[in-house]
Amino acid sequence: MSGLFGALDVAKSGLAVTSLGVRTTSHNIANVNNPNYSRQRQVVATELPVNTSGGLVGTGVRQLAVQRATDPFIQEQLLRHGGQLGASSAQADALAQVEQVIGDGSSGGLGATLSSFYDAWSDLASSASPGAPLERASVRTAADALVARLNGLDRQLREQMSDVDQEIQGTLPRVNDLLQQIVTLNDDIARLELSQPANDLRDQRDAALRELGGYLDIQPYEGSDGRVDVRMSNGVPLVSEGHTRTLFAAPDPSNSFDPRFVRVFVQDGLATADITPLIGSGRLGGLLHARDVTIADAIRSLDVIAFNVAASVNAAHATGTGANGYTGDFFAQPAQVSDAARDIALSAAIVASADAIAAGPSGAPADNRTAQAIATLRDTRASIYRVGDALGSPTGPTRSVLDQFSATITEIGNQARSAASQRTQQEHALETLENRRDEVSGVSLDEEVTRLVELQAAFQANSRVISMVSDLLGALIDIL
Amino acid sequence: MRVTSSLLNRVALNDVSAARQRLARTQEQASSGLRINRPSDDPVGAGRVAALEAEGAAITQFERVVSGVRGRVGALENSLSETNTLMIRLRELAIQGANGTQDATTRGLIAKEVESIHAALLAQANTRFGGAHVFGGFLSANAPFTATGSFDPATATTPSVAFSGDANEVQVEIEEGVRVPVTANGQRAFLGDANGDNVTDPGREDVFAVAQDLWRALVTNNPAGVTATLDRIDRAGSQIAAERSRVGGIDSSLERAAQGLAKRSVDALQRTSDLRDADLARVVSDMLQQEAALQAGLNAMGRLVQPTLLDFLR
Repeated sequence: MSGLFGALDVAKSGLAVTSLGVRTTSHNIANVNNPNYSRQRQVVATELPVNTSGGLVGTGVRQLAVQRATDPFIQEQLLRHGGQLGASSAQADALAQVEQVIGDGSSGGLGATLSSFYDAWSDLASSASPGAPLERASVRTAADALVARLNGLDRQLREQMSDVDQEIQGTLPRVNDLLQQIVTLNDDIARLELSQPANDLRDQRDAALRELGGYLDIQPYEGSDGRVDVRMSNGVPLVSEGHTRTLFAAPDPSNSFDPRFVRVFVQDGLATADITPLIGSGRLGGLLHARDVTIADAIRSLDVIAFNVAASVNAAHATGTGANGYTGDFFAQPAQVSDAARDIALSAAIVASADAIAAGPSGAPADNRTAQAIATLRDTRASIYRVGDALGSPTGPTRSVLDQFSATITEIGNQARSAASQRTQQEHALETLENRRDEVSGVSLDEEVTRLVELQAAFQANSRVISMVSDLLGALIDIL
Repeated sequence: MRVTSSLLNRVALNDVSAARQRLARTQEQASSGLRINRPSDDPVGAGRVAALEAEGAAITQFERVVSGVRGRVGALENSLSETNTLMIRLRELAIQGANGTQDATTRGLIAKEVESIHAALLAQANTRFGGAHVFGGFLSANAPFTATGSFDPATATTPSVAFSGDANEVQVEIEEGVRVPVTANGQRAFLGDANGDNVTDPGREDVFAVAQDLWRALVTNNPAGVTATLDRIDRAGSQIAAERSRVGGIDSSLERAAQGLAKRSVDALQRTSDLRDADLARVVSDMLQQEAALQAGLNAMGRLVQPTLLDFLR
């Protein structure tokens, strides 16, 4: 008798495990399109046998656990490549804008404006009377256009810089939110995992870590209790022992472009530390690099062009005498190469009167030597002023201002190209990793449906066992 | 390899979006006609295009300068050739005046014509172009030659001509590093004073003084004096002719420069186009190919909405 009742228990355990299996499979199917989900598998084991006089008899089956299929190695690589992609895409975005601003080859671009400026001087030099007001006015108009173009390009780049700064500031609340999520999930996982693996919470935490890794270069370490400590790659702790730090942005008064631009600090209790130079990878690192290096360099390369135009034209112009007797600079000489594109302007005397424009040293009506000298600067090769050079002692290579312009175009083009190809490469690497993650953790409907078919058959068979045991018991009872 | 549905979808989506990106690039080339639409498309090429465009702009400007300057040099040449004609007429008058058949009255009539030639010479020496006196050096605003006094047969006095310009030459750059003078030294051409010391150099002639001396010999009925001016008229004539051939040389170098610049301009355009312009035949064939690839990708993606085992379980 005990055998028959025992068989009922065995069949019951079979039904229970099968039902749980259907539960897990349906969970998988429900999450088929959840990108952060790792498919789960039921782990079953035979129940402990009972010792009877006839030997050890099996007592059925039980569910041990539900495990998720995941590969920590792929997770770690996804984290790292996500950070690199974040950095290179911030970089590529910035450069795409920079090359649009500086590399504009249209008739309104910087190259064309520079050429028109020298054309106006050449017109003045070749006119029958360089002293005549008409050609002077057109020199001033062309110079105004050049100044406006340099100022305008500088402003566009600075606006871009401040947009990037805004994005840096806008990123930090999300980063703090993610850090907080990780702390909360850490606590939940540690509590639940006293008994069973907390698969779904771990999926959520992996997703939060991946998103965080897209912003910063982080290195998570999992402790024995299931919590992760999050450190930046260079060791600065962000999450440890349930204790979160928050990131915040504070203006940097020493920033040479705009004192409102921020640096990133980490707040740990009452202590704060500047981590700006430590953020290497991730979108935040890419944004900082774009602001402080990429766009800054582009602004400086405009400054170099502006300063060299001003210095060379002024040197020639100062040898001449204007129609009104003025001798001196044509452009208000910028004090230094840095910020020259922002500060360049016509000198006050030229603004006041086009008669101050000097065509020749003698000021005689047909004397065109100064105008001719300035027109010739178009292709005069001389040592170029670089950032940091003082007026009068240039240290750059020997080339004309227009050569410098085309060299700048090539340089920015090269940077933009390599940033774009780096981004593409990172995208491919990430895609490959995501495919590998899907291979391991993704839900395959075919697989799940097959499993359902198996479970259905098992359920039917277990049910049949119960009905058969019931028949057997019925036969016995009928005898009574 | 496990193939899951999200993996299939991602691969298909990425492939289709990559195909779309390629097609968008090709379409940009087709619609702009340019191979380089931004510096990163070809950094070195873009730099060279910028340099070539600057060179093209410089060439266009030089072409403008040359055509403007040729007008001025043309005015110089006209004036010198007029002067030459006047000198020939002066010589004819001198020969006529030296003829023994002439008497005081007829010599007086010839002297009248010499007066008008003197005035015409002065007008040529004060030629203006675009408001500037071409023989005045840098001081082009006022007439460089001024006559004071007048011809008076009664006292045989002549006007005297003074030069108020300077000896500077206005030079204009017509090609990189090539400068040509676009004025002539009036003092040297008309006064025979090449060194600017306000005294006619030995072996040269003051054109005005020659005319004045001829006039004086004519009104004083002095055939020997008239004959004595003949050699000086010849010297003055060749002095003007030398100046004229110098100007002619400038004009022909302008002509050569104009031809050279036109050739360079075409060449720069050609090189810019070679670097920057898209090869349309190739772009169109690429575009067709990429369109086909995109369609194939989309087609494959359509099939992905996919048969699963569920379709076969009833």
